[in-house]
Amino acid sequence: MVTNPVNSFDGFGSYPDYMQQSAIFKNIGRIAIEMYLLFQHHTTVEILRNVSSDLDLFTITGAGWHFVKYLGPAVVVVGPDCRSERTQSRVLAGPTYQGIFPKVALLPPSVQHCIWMVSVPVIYPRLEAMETLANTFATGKKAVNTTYNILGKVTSSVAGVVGGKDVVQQGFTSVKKAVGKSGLMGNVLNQFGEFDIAEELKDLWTHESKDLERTYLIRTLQGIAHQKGVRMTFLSGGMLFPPFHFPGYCFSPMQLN
Amino acid sequence: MYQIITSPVVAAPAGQMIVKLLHNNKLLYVPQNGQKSTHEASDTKEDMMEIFHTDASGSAREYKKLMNRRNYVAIVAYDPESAGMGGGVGGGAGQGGPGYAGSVHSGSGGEGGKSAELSKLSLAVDFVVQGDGGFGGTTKYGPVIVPHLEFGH
Repeated sequence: MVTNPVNSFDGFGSYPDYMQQSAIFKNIGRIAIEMYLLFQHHTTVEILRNVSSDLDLFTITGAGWHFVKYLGPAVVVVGPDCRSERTQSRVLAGPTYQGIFPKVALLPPSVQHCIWMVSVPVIYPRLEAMETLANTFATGKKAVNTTYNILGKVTSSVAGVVGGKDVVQQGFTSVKKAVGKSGLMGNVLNQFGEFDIAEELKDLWTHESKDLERTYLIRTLQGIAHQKGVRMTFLSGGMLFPPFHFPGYCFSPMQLN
Repeated sequence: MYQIITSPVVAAPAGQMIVKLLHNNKLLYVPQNGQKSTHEASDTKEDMMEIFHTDASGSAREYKKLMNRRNYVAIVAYDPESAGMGGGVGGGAGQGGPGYAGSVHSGSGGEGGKSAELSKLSLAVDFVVQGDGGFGGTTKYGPVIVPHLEFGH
């Protein structure tokens, strides 16, 4: 129901500006939104532009399409488009927050639960160790066979620290075998020549570049929850890394007052 | 505030190495708005719950917070005070199960403040993961209960 990288390609939005703003990237983005609206919401941009109510998808900046939907009187699902407005330094545009928060704060009092469908987890175990590895690895990248895909890079760098070269090779083969599809994507990505692991980590909310935005989101929702007595819950997919898919369950106790 | 993570059902699960790597016990805190994260103690702590104690194969798991198996979640809103929970498991994430409609029938939506007759709903979250082999059975973890929030708390 929410856009995710699969609609376009891994990491869309997190590439450097000169690539994101290129005609090819922009066109892929446009088509991705078209397909997303068509297949997941059974609508088109043209139809949406002529709808004046916010019961359907709505846009604030003109780029991302967000929704606030009721599942009965007591449960609401909020789906901000975490992909279309993304840049290297933000997930959603400022005006989008200013547009969505009032909508949530002004929900009728029958609403008890507000489920936020956020494609990338807001709360996530930190990968600082991984990030360091990614950075270290980026410097020594040239020494390594360039056909290694992103997945391989991670595995090998991790394994390289934990075990010996054998483990590297072994982990590599098995992982490659396990994810044929992303292996293919890895090759495509490498041809862009820009997007290595360090870049891919920028996709996460927990990345330093999104730190203030993340706190703003969490704190504002806590405020609304506190004032309105509405429980806020995040529901998200796995991380962007093709192999990192698992249900984790994160919980931050809210202790206001 | 809870967060539930589930993954695309078609994606291949992560390796044990990744799970191990993510399974740290570092204390994380959310700072006040407008401040950079330093993870000094604040009123909001981030924590993962240990809900995956036993593997789908029956063996005990070392890493209980994350599960690297193909999965989906089912979320059902229910009234903890009404006896019949409905027992229905919703189709997919966010879908109300059969128990849902019954538990909110009295709620009129009320215009001024929460109407007294509207039942307090909690969410029950079940994690359903795939067993060994492509067509094997599934194992359910949960339910994790997301309680409703009392007004003003």
